[in-house]
Amino acid sequence: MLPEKLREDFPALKRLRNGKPVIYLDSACMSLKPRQVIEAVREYYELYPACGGRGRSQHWFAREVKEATERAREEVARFINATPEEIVWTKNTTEAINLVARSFRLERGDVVLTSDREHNSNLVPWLELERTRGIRHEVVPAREDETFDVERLKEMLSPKVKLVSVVHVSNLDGYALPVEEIVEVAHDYGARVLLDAAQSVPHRSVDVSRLEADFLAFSVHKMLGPSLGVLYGREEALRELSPFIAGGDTVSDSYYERAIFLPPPHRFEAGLQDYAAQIGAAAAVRYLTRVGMRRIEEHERRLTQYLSKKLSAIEEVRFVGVRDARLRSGIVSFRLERHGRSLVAPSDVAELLDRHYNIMLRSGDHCLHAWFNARGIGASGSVRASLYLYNTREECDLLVEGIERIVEVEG
Amino acid sequence: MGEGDKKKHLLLEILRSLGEAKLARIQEEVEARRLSEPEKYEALTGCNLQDLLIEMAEEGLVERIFPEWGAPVYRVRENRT
Repeated sequence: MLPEKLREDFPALKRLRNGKPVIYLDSACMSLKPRQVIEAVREYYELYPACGGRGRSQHWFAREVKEATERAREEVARFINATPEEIVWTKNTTEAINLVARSFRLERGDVVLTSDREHNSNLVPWLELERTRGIRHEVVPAREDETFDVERLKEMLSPKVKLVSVVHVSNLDGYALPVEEIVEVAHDYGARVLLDAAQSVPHRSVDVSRLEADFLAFSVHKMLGPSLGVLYGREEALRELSPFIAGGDTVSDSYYERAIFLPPPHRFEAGLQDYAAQIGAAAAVRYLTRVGMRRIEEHERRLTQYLSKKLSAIEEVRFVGVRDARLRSGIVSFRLERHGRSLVAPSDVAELLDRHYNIMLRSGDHCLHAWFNARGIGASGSVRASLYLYNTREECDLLVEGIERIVEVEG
Repeated sequence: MGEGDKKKHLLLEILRSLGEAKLARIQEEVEARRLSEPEKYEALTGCNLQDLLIEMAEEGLVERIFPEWGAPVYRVRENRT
């Protein structure tokens, strides 16, 4: 397990309510921030809060911003073993996926395949293209045990499939799809692959040169940093994309009749950017690298197994997602049921845990409405505890104690 | 009737039929009705029922009764003037 000392780096964990500490189990949505990141952001605003970018101001502050943000791009690239030219800053993962959806060459009749457990951010863009451009979006159904069915994917692949866009690690249950295999078979058919890595890059070592995916999207705010997104694209794949939002900093020159776009990544980053967030992103990856991604992954794996085992001793807990607990990592989703009926609504569970235990977690459909609706539990969803490097066994014990108390009172 | 009013109208109808209920029971009933009469109850698809019930309680349409320790109970407030 990781040393508890690192918790001292997170000011939010020092807060008390009713004399009790914070138990933060909602990192799949937004992670807490260490003081090193807060300090980097504060430094930008205090010392050189100017604009950066190409062809803008040349003064002292602007040069510092430019240097710091270029360094940030390099550090984030190194974190996933990419080159700086392959890193595009976006607002979040959703915007990164939308960038690909809007800019990738897709014509009427072209097919985009996704898994059946996609976050709305990797479902709705394709539904929109189906409606507006006449592409076809097809869903690869999971196996009965809720794992990804590679054989079914192979059956569905054809020359019409131009893109396979799947989640790397699910925000429902922490299940990691077999992405290496998915990339390989998709490439055999000439399809590009986009990975929604919002729940993988913050929690495990991700090496894009090994994965060989064409695009990969993730969010810095889920990995200790400020609100910011990243689109990684292999150089060749990025060059195929048309500009997304056009404007200042995306072109090298313009005339009344035409504009000359810069090469990637700059052609995708229009207008003034969130420079503080980029600088904070570098501080976040430095922090994660210092702790060690393999250690973080192992810490979360152990905690997940510990929590799953303790929760499974409560008769009313029904896990949601993959059946095999060993396949869950960092995220545990469950419902409280008795005789097949919901005993306590997930949102009531979340409210009671918050009110009585200061336990913050998420309830509902977790932006996976389609998945829950297909299983007839769209109105209630699940309770989701998501773990990170600052969580402890003691916090898991308190969560279990809270669930036991709820079952006792409501049962 | 606007989308928000329609949702509240449907939820009041469901809650009236249940008498007094906790959220789990209300969600179960909503799900059952969405399956049996999808067209009528489509407005409740993807709706955060807890948020909607809290809003309705603030508007005086429903009562949200808290036990000493446990989940709140909801019932329609019938005696509005």
